[in-house]
Amino acid sequence: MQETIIQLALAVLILPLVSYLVQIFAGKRLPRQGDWLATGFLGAAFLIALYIAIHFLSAFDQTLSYNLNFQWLNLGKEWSIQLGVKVDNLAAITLAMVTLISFLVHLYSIAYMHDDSRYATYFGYLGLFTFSMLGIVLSDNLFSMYMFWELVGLSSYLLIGFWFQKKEAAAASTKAFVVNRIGDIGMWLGILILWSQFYTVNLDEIIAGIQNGQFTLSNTWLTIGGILLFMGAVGKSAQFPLHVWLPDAMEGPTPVSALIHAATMVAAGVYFVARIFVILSPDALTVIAVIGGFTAFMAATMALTQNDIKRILAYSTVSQLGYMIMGLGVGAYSAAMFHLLTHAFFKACLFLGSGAVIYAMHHEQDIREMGGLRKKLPITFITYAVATAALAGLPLFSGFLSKDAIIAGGWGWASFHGGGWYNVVPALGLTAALLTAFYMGRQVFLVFFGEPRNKEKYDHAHEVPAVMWIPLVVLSVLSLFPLFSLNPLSGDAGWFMNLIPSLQTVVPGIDGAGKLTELTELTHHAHWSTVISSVLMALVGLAIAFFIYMKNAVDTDKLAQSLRPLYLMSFNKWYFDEIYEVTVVRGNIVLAKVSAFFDTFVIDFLVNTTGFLVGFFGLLVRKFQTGKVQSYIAFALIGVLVFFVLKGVF
Amino acid sequence: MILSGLIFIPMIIALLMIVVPKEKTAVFRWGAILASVIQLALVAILVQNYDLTKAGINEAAGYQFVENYSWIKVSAGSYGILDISYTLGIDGLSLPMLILTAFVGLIGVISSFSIEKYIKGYFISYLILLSAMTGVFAALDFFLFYLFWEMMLIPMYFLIGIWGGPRREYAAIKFFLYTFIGSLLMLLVIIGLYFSYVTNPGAAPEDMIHSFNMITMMNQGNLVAGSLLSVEHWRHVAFILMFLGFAVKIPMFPFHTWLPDAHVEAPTPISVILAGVLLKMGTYGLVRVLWPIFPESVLYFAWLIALFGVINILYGALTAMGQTDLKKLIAYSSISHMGFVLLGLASLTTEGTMGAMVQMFSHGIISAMLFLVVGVIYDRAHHRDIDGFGGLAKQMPVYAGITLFAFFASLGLPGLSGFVAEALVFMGGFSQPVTQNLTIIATLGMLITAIYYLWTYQKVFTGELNPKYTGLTEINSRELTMMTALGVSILLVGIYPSSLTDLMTVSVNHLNDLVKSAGTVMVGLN
Amino acid sequence: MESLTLNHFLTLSAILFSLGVFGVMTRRNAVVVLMGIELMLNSANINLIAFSRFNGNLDGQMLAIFVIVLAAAEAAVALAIILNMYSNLKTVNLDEVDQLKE
Repeated sequence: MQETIIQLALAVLILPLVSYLVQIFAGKRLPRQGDWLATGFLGAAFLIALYIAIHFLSAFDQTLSYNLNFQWLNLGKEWSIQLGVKVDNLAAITLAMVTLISFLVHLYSIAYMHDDSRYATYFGYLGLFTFSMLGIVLSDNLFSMYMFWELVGLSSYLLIGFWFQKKEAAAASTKAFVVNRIGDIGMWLGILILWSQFYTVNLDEIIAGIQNGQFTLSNTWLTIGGILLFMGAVGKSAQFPLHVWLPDAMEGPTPVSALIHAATMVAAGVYFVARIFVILSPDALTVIAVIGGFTAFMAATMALTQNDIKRILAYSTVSQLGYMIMGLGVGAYSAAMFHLLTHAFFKACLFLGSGAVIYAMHHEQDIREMGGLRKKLPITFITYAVATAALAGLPLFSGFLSKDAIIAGGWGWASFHGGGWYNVVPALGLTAALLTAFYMGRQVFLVFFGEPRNKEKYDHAHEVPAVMWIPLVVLSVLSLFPLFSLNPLSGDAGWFMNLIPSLQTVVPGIDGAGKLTELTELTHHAHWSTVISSVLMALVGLAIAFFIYMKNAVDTDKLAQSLRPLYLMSFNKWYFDEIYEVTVVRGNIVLAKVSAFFDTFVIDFLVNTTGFLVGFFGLLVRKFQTGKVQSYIAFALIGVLVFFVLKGVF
Repeated sequence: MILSGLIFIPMIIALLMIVVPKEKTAVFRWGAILASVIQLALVAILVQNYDLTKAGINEAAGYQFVENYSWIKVSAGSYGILDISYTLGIDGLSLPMLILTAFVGLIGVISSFSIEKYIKGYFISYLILLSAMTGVFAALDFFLFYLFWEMMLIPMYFLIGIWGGPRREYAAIKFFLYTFIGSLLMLLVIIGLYFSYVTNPGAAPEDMIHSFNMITMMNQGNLVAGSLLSVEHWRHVAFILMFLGFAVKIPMFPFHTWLPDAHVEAPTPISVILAGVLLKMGTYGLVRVLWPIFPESVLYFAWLIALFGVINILYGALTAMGQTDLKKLIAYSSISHMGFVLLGLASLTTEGTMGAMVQMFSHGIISAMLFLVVGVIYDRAHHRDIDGFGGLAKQMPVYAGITLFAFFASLGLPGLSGFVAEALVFMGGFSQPVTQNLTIIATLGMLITAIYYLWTYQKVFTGELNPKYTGLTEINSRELTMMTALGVSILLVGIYPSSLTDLMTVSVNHLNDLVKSAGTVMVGLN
Repeated sequence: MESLTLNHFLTLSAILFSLGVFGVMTRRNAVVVLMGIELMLNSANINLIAFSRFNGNLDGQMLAIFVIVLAAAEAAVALAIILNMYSNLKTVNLDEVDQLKE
């Protein structure tokens, strides 16, 4: 079985790559520019991935995993760089999730991107992205994970900048890649620390090495290494302080936003942290939890006041990723992974839904120009509402199960550490839940309810074609609770949490098993209070949105006026872009100009001065060369005389 | 005979060209192609018959395809016997460089088809240059090495000085003087080595055979007792002098300013050769000569070398970011990338040294591609001002794609050759306490490189198409052929690096062992 | 009567040599310069012969004959150069012949 599964997994990995190559080199010459081919490839990949996932689900063995290694680089030493794939429960489920969403996005793009002049290239890029993403999912080692990590960055760069004629899109793609690279450098340094200790990049071997106490440096280094590795996730999963690229990435086509910047690539960071979870020291995990919690809260506040439908979703993505990171940080490993899965479906649904709205409104993205669209776009509305409910964390929807588990894990973690300031982290998560419900309510009410605010665009709007609404329906069905857990109020009983249990740390000096048991117990303890409080939060958030935007109970402008500093802070995204512009970007430019100046006017000046001085000396000496034979004789004579005189003197 | 053939066939063809009347341009062009293709074929034979298990470095028996003829042998009385031999041979360090020279040489010839001025003189100079470069990588006698080293200078001077841009004389003279001073320092040390090493150390002074053979000098048992270079601090001095000689060629900060000028003024194919092959002669000199001959100095100065490597990486990258001329930007990026070679070599680990070697090869093909990319746009728009373009991706989509490929290759995207090299250098540098902190700083180079390449791409290719350039033609098939050849090799090394590293593994390991063991023995010499 | 000693010859030779140098350095006419050179050569000859006489062997005389032959050849070549110079530059004034400069 092992071989078959590995081969199938490799087939899933390769199919999108083939799609990419075909589309780039031959796409334009194919009938319909090859969209059917690319979509077909992905469909096939999804079916194979589904088969793999079913295999794992039917086996239902927590420890089942298949491995395949090969030697990539052998430098004639006792070590070599081994790359390979590993398919376990988590990889199999993620594989199916990624291929499914990628397939649906392909399908959706057939209509959405129909008129684009680079239609074939677009599908090629989607293939490249899917390939790199699957590479991350399947990698059993840090090295190839890093390679695919950067390739994902490349395809994201290409897709964000797909409409390169737009200056904003080009700038956003550069920003995305560069900001990601900052994180990647950290990740790379983390890999180097582990490499210099174990001379292997294989994750299982590294984990075993740490477990056996072969990590010869102090645990501080393990913490530093863990945080450095986590930096990669900070970049890719858009966590504070590297979150700034994700909202700008919305310049890309909307299906791309759904695939890359909501469901899969940004989740790669979370997936990566999950993969290295067991070697993270408690200190590193605390840092991770704090950053996650803070990001969840911060991004939610930013989403409150945005007017671009996609940007609201972008900040919401950042916020939700914060939840997942926080979940990992607090040790709610399976809850975080669970949220990764559920979030992928409902967020992809939201993005594709927003794409449908934008498509129907002829590329209008401002929610203030919309309104009343539920009558024009009934299918889109229903699916959107379902996904919103899931995001807001209403019971009966998937998001509730996973989000609730994370927050409960947060409370459990806080009490494990004896409360105190540790309570801030889950509290931030809970507050973010309130804010999430509010801004999603605001968006739904403004877009789908009320009176149309732009009559002309409203009149031209009509329901999207079937290739676009079918993915919406599929994804919204996947956002309902029964698929994940039969108990609508708890995910603990669901298959996911049982198939992918929480892991215990292998860091030496910590009683991993004991810690895990205690954490689980405390989490269970916090469960019911969390359910009640988070449902309350969601309802309150929705209610506030309802009163403000449906009943117009409060004048929004006046509200903004009375809370002006807070409003501006949120509207301007806490001024992160401005701060980075002034410090990092300007600083970089200045540094570059200074060194260019230094090079030309100092170093090269010294070089030229040396040359000039030599030439000048030559000019002086040249005076002696009169060209007259007689003066030469005179010089010779003088020379001889001087010689004799000196000889006489000494 | 294969190596002699490899070296002299271009020169013979160049000599034959002298009698051809200068109007027959096709003869010169296709003659040069012929010479390059023969070279490439011979290199293929070398690779085919190369024994991967032999190390070379300081073992005469480990060299392959050796040709050894006594050339000049004179008795100099009490100064012993002067022995210069014509010795050629290759090991794992030189073979990749020969592949690179033949490959980039052919690309350069194809690119030279766009040269319209004094075609006869151009191709004759070009072929002599090719011979000299090949000679440097195959010579095992220091005298011969130096001869080829200097021989390369003259055609290069003319190629920049005659076929170059507006400030070509300035650039050519600067290039010449800089490298010449470097070679003089080298010559000084060569003479010192000549007096200090003999093939028969026990003999009476007048019977001692003073050989210029490099391998003789790599074996410390051949040191003449009491000679200048048997004194430790003189060995350090000699090391520094020779290092500076090679550093000019690499080029290492602060001796790098000839490079941007030379690149900016040189015609495209010459830039390709300059960045693709010539710069590697400096770093090749380090591993071929300096590391095995002065192992204890290498250990002693490792930190300093790494420091300069890191300065190169960061300073080169930052300065590149401050440029407005596309070609200058790429010239500075070359400086930045050559810093990785220094860092890798200074780490004295297998990974680091291998990374440096891969970087030499990889930078050779990537920078060749980058300069071709610049050449394409310069031929069409007649300027290279980064801010003067805009939106070209619309007009030239294939060209834009190729440029993006080259840029990403240069900024170290995994799957392309630059990544393999940088990754190995980082791995090696980080695992050694001496270079660890510097390696951490050097990773910033990855970021700066990404910034300047992507900014450049953004400025030149994205946004609305500059209305001035609606008439630009897409990249033609000749240019596309060159780019494809380079692109495929970049991909090959990037995805399957063993194809390159297997050639070097044994030699690189041997070099490291030699430096480490000999270095520790030698420290107690005095 | 005091006999001639070596010093007398050497003094004469020195005077002749100085006259020759003076001529070479001050005269502008190439032919006169040439005469100065001849003077210097002959002063050397006097020295050689004088040493030969006082040393009692013939080495010096042989060398002197050598010098005379060389001087003749040299004069021939030099005169040819001067003739060429005149035909090319229309002058034998050495101040005007400074083509070596630059």
